[in-house]
Amino acid sequence: MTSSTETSMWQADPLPNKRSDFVFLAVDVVGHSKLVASAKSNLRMTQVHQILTHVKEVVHQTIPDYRPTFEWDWAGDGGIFAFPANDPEDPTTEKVLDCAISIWRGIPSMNDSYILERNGREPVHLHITMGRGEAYYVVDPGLRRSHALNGIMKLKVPIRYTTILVSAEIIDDLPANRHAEFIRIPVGPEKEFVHAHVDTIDAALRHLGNEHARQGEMVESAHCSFRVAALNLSIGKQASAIQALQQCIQQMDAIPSGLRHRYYWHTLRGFYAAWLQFLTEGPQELFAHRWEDRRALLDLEESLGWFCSHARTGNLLVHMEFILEQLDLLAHRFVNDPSGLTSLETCLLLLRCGYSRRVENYAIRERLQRIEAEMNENHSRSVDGDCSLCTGVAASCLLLAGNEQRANELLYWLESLQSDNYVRNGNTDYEDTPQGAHALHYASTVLCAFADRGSRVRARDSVKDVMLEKEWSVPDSLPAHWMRYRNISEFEVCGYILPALVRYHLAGGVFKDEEKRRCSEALAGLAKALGKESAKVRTDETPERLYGARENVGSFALGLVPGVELSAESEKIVRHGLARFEYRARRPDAREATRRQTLDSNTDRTRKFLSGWLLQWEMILQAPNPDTLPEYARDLLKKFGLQRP
Amino acid sequence: MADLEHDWSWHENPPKEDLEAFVFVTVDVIDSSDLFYEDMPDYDLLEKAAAMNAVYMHVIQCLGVDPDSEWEWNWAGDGGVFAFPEAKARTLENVFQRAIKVAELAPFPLRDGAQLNLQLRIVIDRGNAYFHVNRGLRRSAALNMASKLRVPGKRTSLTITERVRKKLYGDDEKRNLFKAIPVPGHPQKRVLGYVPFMRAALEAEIAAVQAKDNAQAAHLSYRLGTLNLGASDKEGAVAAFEQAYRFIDEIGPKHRYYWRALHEFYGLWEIVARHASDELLRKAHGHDWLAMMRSGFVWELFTRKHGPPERWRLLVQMELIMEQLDILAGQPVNEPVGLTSLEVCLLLERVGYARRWYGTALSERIERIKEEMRNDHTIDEGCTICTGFAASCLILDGQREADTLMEWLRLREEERFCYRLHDSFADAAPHEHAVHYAAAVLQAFLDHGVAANDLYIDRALSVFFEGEEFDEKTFPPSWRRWRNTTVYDFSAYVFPTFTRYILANVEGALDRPSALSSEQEMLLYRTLRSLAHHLSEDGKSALLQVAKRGRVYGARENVGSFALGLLIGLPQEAVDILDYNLRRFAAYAERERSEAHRQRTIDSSIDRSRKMIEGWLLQIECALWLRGHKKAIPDPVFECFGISAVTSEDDR
Repeated sequence: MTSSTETSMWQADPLPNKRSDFVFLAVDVVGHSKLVASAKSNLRMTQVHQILTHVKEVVHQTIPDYRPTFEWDWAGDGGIFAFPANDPEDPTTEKVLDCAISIWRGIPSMNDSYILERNGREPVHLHITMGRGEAYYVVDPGLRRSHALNGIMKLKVPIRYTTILVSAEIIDDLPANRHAEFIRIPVGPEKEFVHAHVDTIDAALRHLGNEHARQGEMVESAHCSFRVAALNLSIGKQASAIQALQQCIQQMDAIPSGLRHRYYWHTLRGFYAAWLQFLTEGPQELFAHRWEDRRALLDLEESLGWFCSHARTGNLLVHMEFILEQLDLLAHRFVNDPSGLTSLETCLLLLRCGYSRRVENYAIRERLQRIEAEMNENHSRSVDGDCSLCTGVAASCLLLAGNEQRANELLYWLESLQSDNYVRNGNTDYEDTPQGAHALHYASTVLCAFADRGSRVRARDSVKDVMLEKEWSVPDSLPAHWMRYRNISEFEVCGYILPALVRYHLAGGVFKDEEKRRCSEALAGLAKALGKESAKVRTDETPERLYGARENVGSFALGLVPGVELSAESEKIVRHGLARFEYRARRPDAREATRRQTLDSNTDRTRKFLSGWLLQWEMILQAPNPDTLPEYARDLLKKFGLQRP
Repeated sequence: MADLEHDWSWHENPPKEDLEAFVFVTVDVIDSSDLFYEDMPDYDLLEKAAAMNAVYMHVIQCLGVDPDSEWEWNWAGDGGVFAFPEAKARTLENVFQRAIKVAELAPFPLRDGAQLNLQLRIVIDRGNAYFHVNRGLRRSAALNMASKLRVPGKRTSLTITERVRKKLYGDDEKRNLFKAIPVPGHPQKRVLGYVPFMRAALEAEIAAVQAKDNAQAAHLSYRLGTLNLGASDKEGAVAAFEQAYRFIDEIGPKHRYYWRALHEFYGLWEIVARHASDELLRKAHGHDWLAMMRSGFVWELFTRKHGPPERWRLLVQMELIMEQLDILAGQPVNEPVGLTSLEVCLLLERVGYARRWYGTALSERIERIKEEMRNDHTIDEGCTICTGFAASCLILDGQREADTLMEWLRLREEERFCYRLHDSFADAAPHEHAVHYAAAVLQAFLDHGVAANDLYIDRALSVFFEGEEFDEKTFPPSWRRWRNTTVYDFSAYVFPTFTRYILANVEGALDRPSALSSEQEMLLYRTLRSLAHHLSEDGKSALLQVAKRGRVYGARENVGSFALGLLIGLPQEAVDILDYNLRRFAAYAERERSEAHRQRTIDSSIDRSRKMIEGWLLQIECALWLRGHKKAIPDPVFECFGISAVTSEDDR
């Protein structure tokens, strides 16, 4: 579609060899490299060519009054268009934005049968970016240059659906009534804030959620719906947020009961329901505003006042929003750190919270790929040179990621370790220890893996028996058969075994009365050991302050299993741990820099804290009779703001 | 390969759409986006634009094509893609030769008489492409690969893929021309750098940093030495290691670095460069020096000839440490965690890691400190432990902002330097923190300058020596108070700081350290013994045999703590624990492991990996100090590192 310059809706081309203002529009096919790399045959290469040619034609056709001079570059998978913008009276920026929106709206029709037939039924999507600024304009397009152009070429949302991102200069140049169409989101390795067109992000998240739903990955799907709700909240669209939250809950409810234990299901569902309740019943005057910072919304006096009469909702929202902020950090980079077990455990934590791995350039997916690569190095049976501790976590990760086949390969090997009490480490890199001479926490992740698998009840119970079948001689002490051969602290061993027993319970495992008594003793032993350590180091009695106590908040969730006793000492430790967590969670005023860092200077400790709090909430919310819970747990449901003892 | 063919003509492109094999060469001006900024003055814009045009003209001239030729698939201001049909024999050879010419870009003269030294990133790959007469519709996986490849470094580079090397040279590895470069985030995982340019880049980088930082210059010289040696340029390697040795000698103050360890390390490398046989050097496939040192008989022969053989253990161990540090210098050093990433940053600086050579994470972490300081002139909202580490990082980087942090730290005297304004999580009052906080401050004072901070160093020291009574196998009450981390974690801060303190005080002195009074030394000796006792008891409760009680992770994390024992006396209780760990480290260093395994940290926790590496380095540092002062070296230390009274000086 072309037209003469005189009648064009666009400004005239500038004179060459001059500085001129332009609005830039860049389009780029998402996953182009993968598309071309898939072209192993001539036929496929031809198809790829046809797809990309079609994309180019559609983009050209979508720009009204198109002139060839607009196209500064087209390099196979996308191009750059520059629209003259020297006349400040002419709203070129707005017109180009409308073009970008038209391209986005045209994506479904662009993905007609012509594309789908050639691309294995997969639609093609585009990264669309806009910038504005001066450029030195010369006739040869290859020699034109602009600071603004350089900036926008680097912007990409890690989602493989079409999105529109624009620079701050674009926002400044748009009429005020269009600012509401955008929100600020962090992108790129440094998480710098850029402006994203809300509708495109909304649609992309919905697409992603639908994709998960199609695969039966409902927790991930609900996570996407929650992001949609949060997005709408951030632009003051309360009704859309409510609708998305309703969808969240439906998606959570659609998860078969036999699979719910893999996730923090009760906690996530409770959290989504809490947002829904807050938005529907809470102080309505707040929700017409844009709330990009949800934690700041929760910290308003009006919100806090409302939470006083809706304690459970308030506590859940405050706690979970803080946890999600931290999980976002872990999901961004830590999960694919060049470390072994820590990054695996982080990956599992994120998967249990429904974080999506179906996102372009996303670290979770890469970490999962690393598991498979490592399995291939280990005869496809284990990871980390036959380490049951790491293999258990890896198996859980693969199960939650829906890769049952590879997970089963690991589970077969883990099952074969029965005669070794499921304790094995063939990786003698740094140690000169026999493969089975490791403490029982090596079996704890095996227990979780079988619990996650669900169908291997016998194997699951067998691992649990290893932990609880023996009597321990000293009352209120930590079991010697757990600690034998340990090379980490007693507290760390407990931090593996006790939460694994909680997961066993969540997966439907039933403790015998004798086993419940042993669990109670183990918890008492842990509290006593913490008390002993505390006595060594301070003048007052505050074992709760020890890192060992904070790292075991999740362990004490075992005390919420009916029939397992939680001593007064233990309860004090948990209450304090949760109260301090709440204090942190209630500090949205903390500086931006602090909020962009993990809550502890050690990644592993951060992960333990987060999973501990989540496990506490999970056990509290799944309790069939909340009145039988310990006082701190009842307080969390009934009083807003947990007080320390 | 034949010389550049001046009368060469490229094969023409297909007349219509077709699938054909091409050789791709991509050229990019490194950091070109930094040249253009918002509202730049006209003269600057025109000048930079002219410089970029000159790059284009230079590239097409070297490639022997006209402007806008059919082989130019794309040029986008600061770089572009050229593709040549491979149907004609010797096309790849010609592309390669001409790419070398492209790299020889002359500086662009600016109006004010200065010169703009633009650096180019050149990549060559080959593969099939879908050719279309319309340039924008051409596509190829090989082209995508070349376009997206970003090898680390800010100086001109030429990178090729293995399929290009194979086509050029067949089975000949061409070690003198190419060095493997891992690119973990890229589909190829490993590409090949062109050695002559890598060498030139290192030389330029050394020239740029040597006036400012001898530790970095020494480190880069070591990298240059191994590069030259891998390329069979022994003379160049010897010269580079000599240079590293010279730079390290000129470092001051030495106590900021693992000076003795680096000095010894570069010296051993120099011996290898002088005396290694070609047969031995060939064992380092793809410049993998650990592979050479683990190659068995030929390496053993060399170590015996240039014995005593045990001294060479140190070279293997230091190479292993460097391999681990390379991993930490990537992603972990700039992770969004507070203290751990600061500690990693400081460790890398103490080894002299170049700030921008392996990517920009290290320099970005240092910038983050400055960013965080802007709010309240401290780090982590008023925490002495974080601020102490941050100050040390800035001091080693020569940043004047360190002075601001030092001022704040000095003001914390009233709180015994154990201070954290907001410990929202532990619910502790600002002063309710254990003395390991003061250890970080003491370390910062030492790094800042012993003489300049003598008063404050004494005050920080006094925090640890309050003259209290305490039972054997325990710690003084003032050390125990307010500790919320494990005794092992606590010790890993305190004892290494005293080691640094002693080494800082004895710098230049010839005799035994006199930095501490005998009472102070006795207290440290007793507390070190208490640490060993704790470890032993912990091992006992885990039913570990006596000989295996060093297995406890706390022991691994405190190898550096026991380095203090080398200076003030190692308690008998600690000998077995240290022996176990040093033996395991030695065995670990000798053992081969897979490529994937070597790209991971030694421990699953980044923080623990850092502590272990620091511990080994501190042990080496202290053992070399003992050797230098002709003191007895404990057996486990000698057996692990092979450091004995015999020096390597004679061989040099």
